Amino acid sequence: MTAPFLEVENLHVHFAGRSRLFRSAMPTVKAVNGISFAIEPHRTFGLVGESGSGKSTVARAILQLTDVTAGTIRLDGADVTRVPREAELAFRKRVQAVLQDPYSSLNQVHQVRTIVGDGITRHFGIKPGPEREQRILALLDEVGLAGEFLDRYPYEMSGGQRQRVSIARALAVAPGLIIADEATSALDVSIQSQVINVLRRVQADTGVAFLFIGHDLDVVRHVSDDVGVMYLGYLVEQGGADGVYDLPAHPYTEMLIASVPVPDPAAQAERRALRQTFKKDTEPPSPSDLPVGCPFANRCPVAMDICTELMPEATAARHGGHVRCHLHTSGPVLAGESVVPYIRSASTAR
Amino acid sequence: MARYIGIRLLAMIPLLFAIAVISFAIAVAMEARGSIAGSVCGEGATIECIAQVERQLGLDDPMPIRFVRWLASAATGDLGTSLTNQSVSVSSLIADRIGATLSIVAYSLVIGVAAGMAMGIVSAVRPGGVADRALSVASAALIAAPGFVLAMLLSWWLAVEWGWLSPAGYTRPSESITGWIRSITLPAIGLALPTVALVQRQLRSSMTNALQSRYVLAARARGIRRTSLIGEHALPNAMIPTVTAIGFRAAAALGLTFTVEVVFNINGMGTLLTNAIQTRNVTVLQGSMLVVGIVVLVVNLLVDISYGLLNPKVRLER
Ligand SMILES: Nc1ncnc2c1ncn2[C@@H]1O[C@H](COP(=O)(O)OP(=O)(O)OP(=O)(O)O)[C@@H](O)[C@H]1O
Ligand code: SF4
Ligand SMILES: [Mg+2]
Repeated sequence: MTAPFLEVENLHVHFAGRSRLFRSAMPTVKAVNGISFAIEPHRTFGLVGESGSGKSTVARAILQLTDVTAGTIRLDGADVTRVPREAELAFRKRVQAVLQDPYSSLNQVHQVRTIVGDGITRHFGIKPGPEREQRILALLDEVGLAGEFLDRYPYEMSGGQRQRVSIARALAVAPGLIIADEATSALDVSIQSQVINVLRRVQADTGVAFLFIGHDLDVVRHVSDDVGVMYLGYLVEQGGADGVYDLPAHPYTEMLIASVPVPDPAAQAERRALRQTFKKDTEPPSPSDLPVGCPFANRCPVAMDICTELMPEATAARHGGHVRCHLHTSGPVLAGESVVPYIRSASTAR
Repeated sequence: MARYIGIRLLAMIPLLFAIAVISFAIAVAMEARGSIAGSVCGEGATIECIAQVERQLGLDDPMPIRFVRWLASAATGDLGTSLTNQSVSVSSLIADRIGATLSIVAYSLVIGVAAGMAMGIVSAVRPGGVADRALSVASAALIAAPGFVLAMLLSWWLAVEWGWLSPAGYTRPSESITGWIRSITLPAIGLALPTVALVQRQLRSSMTNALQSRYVLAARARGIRRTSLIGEHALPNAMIPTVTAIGFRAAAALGLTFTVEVVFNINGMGTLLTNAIQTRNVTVLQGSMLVVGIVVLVVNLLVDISYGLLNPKVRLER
């Protein structure tokens, strides 16, 4: 087994509410609350969860764009939780990002040449000229864009083309890890799979590790070797991608699966019935006022008394990963098995 | 870009015509109250003199004909002669005055935009910081206080007390370059102060947004240098709305030079126009309004061109 390229251990990110003169102090937002995972070279870890669950905050923490409150981040075994200024450039060469929203993440006044090329100049010291031009063309080719795109401005490209440019821009510095934060979420389904294929090819060619962030479990599972399901800053379930999808051990994971429409009418009717058992309209608790017990308790169809009193610990799941849910240790004691049959019987009993 | 400029130039033609119509109409409205011929013949004018002058100047022709005649000769650079002094052509009067006005306005824009941009960038780099709060208070004060009042205070120290700059009057660059700069610096500062405030405010807001945008975040993640994040990534975007604001301010500054000219006792277009109104000097009035209007159009064109240079989407649109 290869050593992981990225290791995240017990990561916490809290945004302290600043108190200002004439303004009441804002409460601390606990966006990430102790998550751990690792990614080996050539592999993809998928992070999935609803809006506001803290996925982008995890990405920003790894990218040194926000301060880490507690925990450790390691790259190739070396601690990079707080990279000192003089080591920042070297760090940036190893970790790159493809950000959410292809429309706002490219500078409108720059041509593709500048967008892809400035990282080459910064990290390899290659000034604009024929050599840099060659490199940019090779990168564009890698992501499936023709040379004519060199002179294009972002507004002259489609969403999928912009996202390919974002990938080329990240690849330009030859990083060991690329964090793709909702890199395909804004795209049409067909374009989405094209961009995913580009990511796959890039990984096969370069061995880069991916942290793939999304809110659609179907897409994330497709791309990833392992997945982590985030809810309110907690990793409520993690494990092999197919395992988590086929044998979900957490009710929230089951809810995410049920919320994806499927073509088969019978299966679709079943999912719809299942969806109705979740209190989908109930708001999740605020990250600035976390409950003592399970964060999912107010929406969970099978919540028990203990759920509002005690935060569940991580326990081993049947699929080989972990789950944080009392069902596996108290009450019916699922002991790591899939939660699906239990929720189904609970919903038909009602 | 050539196409973009071509379109702007074509768009100027109807505006130019509108300016000519308005200049002519306003002057004619003045004429209806005080007769041109009357002012030519002077006090105690005889009916014969008036009739003769009216025939001479073509004042008895119908309006549209007079307009076309005026416009046709204006197109050749001939704006007629001053009514109060028939030996002086309107064009030579304007040529004599316009240098002072244009140099003050241009100089004030250079000072105002440079200082305003520097202040706006400093504010935006740390919004809410000490520097930002101090600069924002300063620019609020500049907006509240009329610029020429501050310029008069400045003139007390810089000109009267220390003798660095000239407190009043205008020196032509042909006479002395340093004298010219000393003579226009105070009026230009007076005119520039509101510009500073306006540019600081606009740039602060658009630059703060730009620095918080995803493309700047992405550039930070790529390890791009801080100076380049500010100068090459955020600033060109933030300047797009700022240039529009500068354009408005340039037109307003042209309108305001007349106060500054009075305060600093400078013979420019502002004083030429006010005198023409007071003496009902219709030909001078028409001619100067036309020229000032053309200057405003040219300023707008320059603003549009810089806008296009900054914004590829506008520049390359077809
Ligand atoms: N700089 C910040 N200051 C205070 N709170 C923040 C800050 N950044 C994020 N948050 C809060 O942290 C929580 C997690 O936000 P985050 O952007 O990580 O969610 P996400 O899972 O990426 O959601 P989305 O799918 O909408 O992108 C949210 O409640 C958000 O409001
Ligand atoms: S711990 Fe309780 S509330 Fe939380 S998901 Fe499990 S059963 Fe539901
Ligand atoms: Mg996000």
